[in-house]
Amino acid sequence: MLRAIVVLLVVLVVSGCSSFQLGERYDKSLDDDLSAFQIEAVTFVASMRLNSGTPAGAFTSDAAKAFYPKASGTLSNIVVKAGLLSSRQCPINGIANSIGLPTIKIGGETIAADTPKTVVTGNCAVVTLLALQNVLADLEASHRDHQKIGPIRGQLAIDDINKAVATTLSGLRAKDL
Amino acid sequence: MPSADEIFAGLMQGAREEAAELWEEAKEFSINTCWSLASQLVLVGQAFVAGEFTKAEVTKYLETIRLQFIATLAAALMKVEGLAERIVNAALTAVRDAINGALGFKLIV
Repeated sequence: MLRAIVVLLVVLVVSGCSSFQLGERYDKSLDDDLSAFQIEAVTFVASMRLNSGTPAGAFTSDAAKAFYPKASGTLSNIVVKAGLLSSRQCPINGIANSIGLPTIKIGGETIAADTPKTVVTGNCAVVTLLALQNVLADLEASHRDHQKIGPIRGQLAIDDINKAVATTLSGLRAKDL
Repeated sequence: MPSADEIFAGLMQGAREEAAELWEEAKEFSINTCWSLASQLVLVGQAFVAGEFTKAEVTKYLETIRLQFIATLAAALMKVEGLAERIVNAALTAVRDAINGALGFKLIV
């Protein structure tokens, strides 16, 4: 085994491989874009929470009308850039697509998902961004339906955005060699 | 509505049983994941009770939980790969230096 590893290393060196890479490479611009997106999204939700129940916090407010299309465009751009980091399919995709939807129990009532599952596809960086895309889409739908973002719903959205961005950045930065 | 601590304890118990002999290796990852999920579930319950979340929205939210878990798996894989890349690249540098040193000139740059 050790002999095989040494032979592999010598072959890699002799063939001119100065660095070894698996899957996605680190991209500073993606890191910056994602960090900027997180600040913008969390600031927006915090502002909507603060103005909840007033015209300034409504889905029809100027701030909301400006935020959602821009956030959607920015996130699409981030996903496109992430897709260019590697042409592979993330090795966990097979397992990921076999993971069932969880159920939740609230006040003695068991609630099960009835929506179709998102098909997990793309490289690992793209896969880590699926949750963030879902969080943003659900937030927009919830804001539209309720015409406001309440304090608890807002906190949940902020936590979800932070968690999703931190997850992607932790994977991406692990590739910053 | 159970507290985040109670939900966390239940999740950790389940994780410990699933991980079995791999528990020590999986402990830190499980603590972070379970605590985050417990806090999330408490907020979902509170939002539902407060009328900020409808039943249909809770149903949709389950997909977010699934995708967050999948994202955690993908990021964990990237971290392992990043570590492997560091180890192999350090070894490549050592082998290159050894070859160049033995030859007395820089054959490999």
